[in-house]
Amino acid sequence: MFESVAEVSDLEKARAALRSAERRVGVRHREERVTLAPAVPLPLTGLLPGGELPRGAAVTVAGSASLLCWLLGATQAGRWAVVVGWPQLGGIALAEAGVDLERVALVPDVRGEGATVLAALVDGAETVVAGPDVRLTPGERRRLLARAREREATLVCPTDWEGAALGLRVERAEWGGASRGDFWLREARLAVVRRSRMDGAGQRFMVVRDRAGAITVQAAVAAKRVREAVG
Amino acid sequence: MSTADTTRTAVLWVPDWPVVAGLAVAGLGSHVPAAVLGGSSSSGAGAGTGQRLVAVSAVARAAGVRRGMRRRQAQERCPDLVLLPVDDGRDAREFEPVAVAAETVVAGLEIARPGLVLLPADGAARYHGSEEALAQALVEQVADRTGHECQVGVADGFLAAVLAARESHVVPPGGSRAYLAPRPVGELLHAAAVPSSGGGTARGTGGADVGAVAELADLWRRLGLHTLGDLAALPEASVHARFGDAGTWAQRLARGEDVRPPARRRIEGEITAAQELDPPATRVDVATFAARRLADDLHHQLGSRGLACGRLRITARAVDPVTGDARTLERLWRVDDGALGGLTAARITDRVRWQLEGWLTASAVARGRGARAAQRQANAPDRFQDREGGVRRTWKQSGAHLEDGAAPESEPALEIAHLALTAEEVAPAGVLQPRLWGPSAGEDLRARRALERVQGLLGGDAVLTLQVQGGRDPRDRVHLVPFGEEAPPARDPGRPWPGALPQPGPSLVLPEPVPAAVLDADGRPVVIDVRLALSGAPARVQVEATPGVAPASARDLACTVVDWAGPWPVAERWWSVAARRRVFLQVVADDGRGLLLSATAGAWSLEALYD
Repeated sequence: MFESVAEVSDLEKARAALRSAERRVGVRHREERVTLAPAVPLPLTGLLPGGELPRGAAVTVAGSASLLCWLLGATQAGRWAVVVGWPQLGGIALAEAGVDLERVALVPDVRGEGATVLAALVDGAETVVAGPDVRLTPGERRRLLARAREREATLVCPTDWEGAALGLRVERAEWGGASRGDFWLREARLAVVRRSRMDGAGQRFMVVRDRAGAITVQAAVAAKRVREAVG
Repeated sequence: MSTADTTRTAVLWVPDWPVVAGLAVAGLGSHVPAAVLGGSSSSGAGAGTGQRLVAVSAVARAAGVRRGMRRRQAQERCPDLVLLPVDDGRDAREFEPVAVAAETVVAGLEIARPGLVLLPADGAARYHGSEEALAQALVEQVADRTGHECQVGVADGFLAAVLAARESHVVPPGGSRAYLAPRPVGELLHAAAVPSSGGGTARGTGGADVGAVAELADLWRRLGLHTLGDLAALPEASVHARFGDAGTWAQRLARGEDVRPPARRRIEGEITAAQELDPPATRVDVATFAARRLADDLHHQLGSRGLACGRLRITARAVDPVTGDARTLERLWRVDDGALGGLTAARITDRVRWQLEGWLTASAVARGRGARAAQRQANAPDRFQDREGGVRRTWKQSGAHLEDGAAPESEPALEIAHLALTAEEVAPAGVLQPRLWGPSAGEDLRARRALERVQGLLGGDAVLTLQVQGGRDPRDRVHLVPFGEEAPPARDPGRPWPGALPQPGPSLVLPEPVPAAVLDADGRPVVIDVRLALSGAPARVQVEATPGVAPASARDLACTVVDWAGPWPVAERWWSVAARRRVFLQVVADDGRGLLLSATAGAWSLEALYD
């Protein structure tokens, strides 16, 4: 008991020291209060600033090919999407994500000419996915990005891309629903961190695919940070 | 007025065509009593009545078998009746020789349905002397060339001609109305029996399907309109007001008029450019050189006749230099991309070159992909040259992809001895109409050009389009076609595929399954017995890291299983050589990803990943 009293007095002492320091320097300490956003499920496009893949920019979607397929399906809207250098990407997953297969082309093997192929495609297709098999030097990446900016195309990459306008990183993808042999894999929860030019440090989302196949997004934490002065 | 609306028409009718065609395909003679059994009761009158006879041969008819009977009833009358299945495709296919035979007598005919051909009679009758002579010539030609018996009737107007053909009769000009007048209204069915799939030319206005006409005829009988003459005598406006389009259609036919002028087919022969290659070409550049000339030739032929084509067929006869076996390689490309500026000689050459590369290098694939890949890099396109106003670029041939060094003499490549280009779906140039919506609408011209440019860089097979086809595992369900090539999916996705893996599909499908080990909690391999029971709950999965085979995502995979689903057995095509028996298992690894594993004969492999 005495110890706790002693602690309180320590805290008081510390606060007093801080206050005196603040008075001396002229800086006011403010306490930060974080309010959690209400968990309102949004459609998948809620994950994207403005609800669209940015045009004329690079986007990275790391850690989950499913999320990439879903995003392509949600934002395609009659645009062409070409997947380059990614033979593993599942065609069925693309079709189920609602991608219009009439406007999808695949270039699975670029035969060492990744930069040339991507440059040609950026000229024509609105969305170009540069898969893991495409090897690019940093210089080629910069030139491609400049070309994409000029042509208003979107470069989507499952790995890092320097200068990407939007970065989505899936920190953990949690598949489930199997119930030890009773059902099958049908639910997924993806913890996504979004980094974009707008919200710099990173905003967290939870992308949920429910049993029926509906995909929703919940903004996980920190919708609003309120700072208030302490008297 | 009525004479202005009618065309002197000859109708060539082969009685009981479905049976005749079925017997011909089955290799049976016409002396065998036979009947075609309908697939389903299309009238829908009796649910559960099962199949009924759709067509009956003359011999069977003599035994008392009639159309519309059930199978049991028919077999009662005629125990050795041969029953044939309904097959519209077979009927149409088998009828083509008959149409061609008729075309040797009269140019420009219309196939109303398999078994029934309309021909313009006036000109041909003048040429042959009389309508009887024309009919005789037709019957003789068809019998000579195909061996089928047919009947010909000539009259004004469609219905009168059809009915005249059933009696082998020539109705004098202007006599059609009188000829039709005493006949019962039910006879309209002979004009209406146009299956929707029969050549796509539904005769008459909307109401011409069998069910509707039968209903209408029945109604008229009950109303006291027994003959076609009764129907013809009614005022037109009243008929249309009460019976709609179908009524108008029937009345026009009953008056011996035509609903519309016959849509005569005019055969544009397929345009072909072909060349024997002597000595046979083993290298792509040699073959392409020949193809270039053929393409120019084809383009010139099309241009001089003012035609455009919708499809390009490339046929090559390949000879195995050792055994001398010849086989024909063939591929079809859709080229009706009007937006891309039509089919130029350069575009034809490109398509042929991709094709030849595919064929000539396919035999070299076995000799090691690595060598070829290295060589492709060495043969990178050295220069682009603009052609045809910059619309189409072609790359300068810098050399063959099959070099002598890469192809050892001990195993010679395929040799191409004959090359042919055929322009199909030929139509007058300028009538080709792009679709209003969809990928050929021209709006996404930029994307198509870009894809063609990539095809020019990497070859035709490097750019693929994706279709979903029928199948059970995620690899089988994807149908990849080179961009621009026409190859319909092998399996219909609309059919039920029992045992197919449930949604969602895995996001990463390994191109080749990677060997894996599935262990239970005690470290023993999980085995599936004949009753599909797992020997133990899967607890660990280890993927054998095969360098170069496993993709990065599955490289170092050794994980603990937290959840699993299955096992699901899939036994495919067990009756054939390509039989496959697999058991699928879904597993959730401790890192949250899902794995799709399959077991064949006790050996597990990793098929796909859910991430």
